[in-house]
Amino acid sequence: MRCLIPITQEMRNPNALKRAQILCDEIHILYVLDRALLDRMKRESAYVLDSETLKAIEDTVIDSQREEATEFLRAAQKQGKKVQLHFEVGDYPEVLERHILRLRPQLLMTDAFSRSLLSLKVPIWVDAGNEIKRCVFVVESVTKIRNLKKDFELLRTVCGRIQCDMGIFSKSNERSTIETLKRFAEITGLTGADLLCLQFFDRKSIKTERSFIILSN
Amino acid sequence: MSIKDIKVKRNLFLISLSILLIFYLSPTPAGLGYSGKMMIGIMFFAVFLFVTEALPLGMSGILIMALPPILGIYDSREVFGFFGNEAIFLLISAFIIAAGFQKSGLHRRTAVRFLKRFGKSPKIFILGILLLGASFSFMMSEHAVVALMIPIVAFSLMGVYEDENLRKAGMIALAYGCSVGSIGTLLGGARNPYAVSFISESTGTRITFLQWSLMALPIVLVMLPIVWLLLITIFPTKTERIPVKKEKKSPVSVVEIKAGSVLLATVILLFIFGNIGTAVIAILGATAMFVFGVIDWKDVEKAIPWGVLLLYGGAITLGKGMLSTGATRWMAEGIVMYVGRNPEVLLFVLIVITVLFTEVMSNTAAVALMLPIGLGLSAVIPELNVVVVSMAIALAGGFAFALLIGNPGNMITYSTGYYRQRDLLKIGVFADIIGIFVIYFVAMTVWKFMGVW
Repeated sequence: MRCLIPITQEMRNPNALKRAQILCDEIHILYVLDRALLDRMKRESAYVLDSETLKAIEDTVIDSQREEATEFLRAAQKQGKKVQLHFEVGDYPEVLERHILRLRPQLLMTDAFSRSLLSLKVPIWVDAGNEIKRCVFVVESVTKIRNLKKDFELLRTVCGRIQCDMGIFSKSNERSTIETLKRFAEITGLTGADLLCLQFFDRKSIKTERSFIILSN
Repeated sequence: MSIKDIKVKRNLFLISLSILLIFYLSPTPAGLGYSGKMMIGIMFFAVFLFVTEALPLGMSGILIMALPPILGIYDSREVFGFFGNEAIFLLISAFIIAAGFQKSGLHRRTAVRFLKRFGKSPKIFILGILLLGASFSFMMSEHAVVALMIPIVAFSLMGVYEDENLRKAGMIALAYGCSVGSIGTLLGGARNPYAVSFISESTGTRITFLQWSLMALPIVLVMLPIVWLLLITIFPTKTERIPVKKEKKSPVSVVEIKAGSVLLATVILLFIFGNIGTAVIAILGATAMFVFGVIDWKDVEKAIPWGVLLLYGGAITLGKGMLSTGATRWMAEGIVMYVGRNPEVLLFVLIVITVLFTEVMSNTAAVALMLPIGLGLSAVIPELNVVVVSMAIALAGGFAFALLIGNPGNMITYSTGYYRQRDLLKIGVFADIIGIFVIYFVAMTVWKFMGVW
């Protein structure tokens, strides 16, 4: 499985990095030095420092952040997985989108959810770092599950690799579905899932202390 | 800048103008004339611009100078005459001397040797960074020191990647060391000469270079170990020894000797003959940099941050305007009505407000806004010594520890990626609170013992 983990100064994603070591075959770390940060630094300092000094500071900042990114690579490589580092200075959402198109990851892994992630055409795992024993796939309707074959396969792989049980939960009120689910829940006891796999993003379904995967939106 | 940013800034600027309009249209309160009312309006206008940065700070500074003639408060000749001030020339000369020091490369050699001495133990190394930033900030602008030292400190911390806390503490130590050190002498920050000049012109009390340092250094000496303890407690390091990095040794160049000698001689002369005029001695130091061939004019053109000087123009216009129109006295009477007449309480409140202001705007801007109010209060309450109030405000203006926007030094060190905003907030809140009490404590004890009040 090919995973992409975006990292910025404020978002180090330690949970995602740790989980990726178990889950992924190929890890791509995308370290983004946000251009907005550099611009802000220059804007805040422009009245006290000349442009040449500001340029020198910018170079130092890029060098030290590149070094920081290399350290993430070193730490991830210690686990013996195939890891690649991509260091970019630019607008975070734009850089992320470009790398998704280029690398075509099967899963984007991060520790914190932001709405901007929803526009990305890739399943997103928001990892709370919790221990996962049970995962539940929440679908609109069980009867349409055939249409979700690709998502289902991905989740089977994910749940299999992290060695946890997987269940399906439907939000529809079809009587037959509810009956099936009740029986399903009784047998498997999957209602208290540690990992929610969502076909669509739904704020109500997500508790922040739990990990979740958003499949499509 | 994106179109969206331009629009936001333009809207913010329009809001700032509307503040002026509100003041213009509102009735003049009892005890305050039209000029005083409009100067308070300009003050709120300035606060809004300084916080939102709808205009670059330097531009805000000169715009503030243009407003009193437009509003009929002052004649334009009078306003622009404010700019011909000793502090401006002290600042320009200090920038020239710093440019010579920077060009010689002596800062790098000194910093590397200095840090080597503090070498292997991480806790002592953090103290070394603090002292390095502070001692350099005695001689030049704190922001310039951060800019000069950041490659050296970043390089030193590159070998300790496993210890995230050490990197955080080390980088924050640079910003804090410079902030604390900047209050130590008149050369550390633009707000220091501004305060001295404002006090001198408003009250006739002249504070020499030596007097400033005698009053400020106790605060520096108390704050540095406290900040160090905060850093090593909040960010406990797990590294036992810092790896020694080998640097190529090169002989000290003639230019380095010349630059170092000029800087040292200037500082000594400022201490001994400061009463002649700090700007006069600083101009001699700047001249020596040319005479000894350390710098040429092109270096000076690149090294002078005009924003600070222009902001200064706005600050002095605001201060003088508020004092002479009676606006500060009117505001001071209002404050006394709410806070009471106890000078010690008033002093404490002023320090707290200045620290809060300096966290959200430029240090110089915060001091520029608070100094007139402080002077107004000391006019209303004679027991509140004018020098004590002014110095307390000027020194508190340097203590922006918690937020990135409070100090370019914080922003620059943050952008290296070594720490996060919440790390700065975590330690900065404590440093701010302790800083407030240290200034207050020194003002109440040491300054009293020195006979300042």
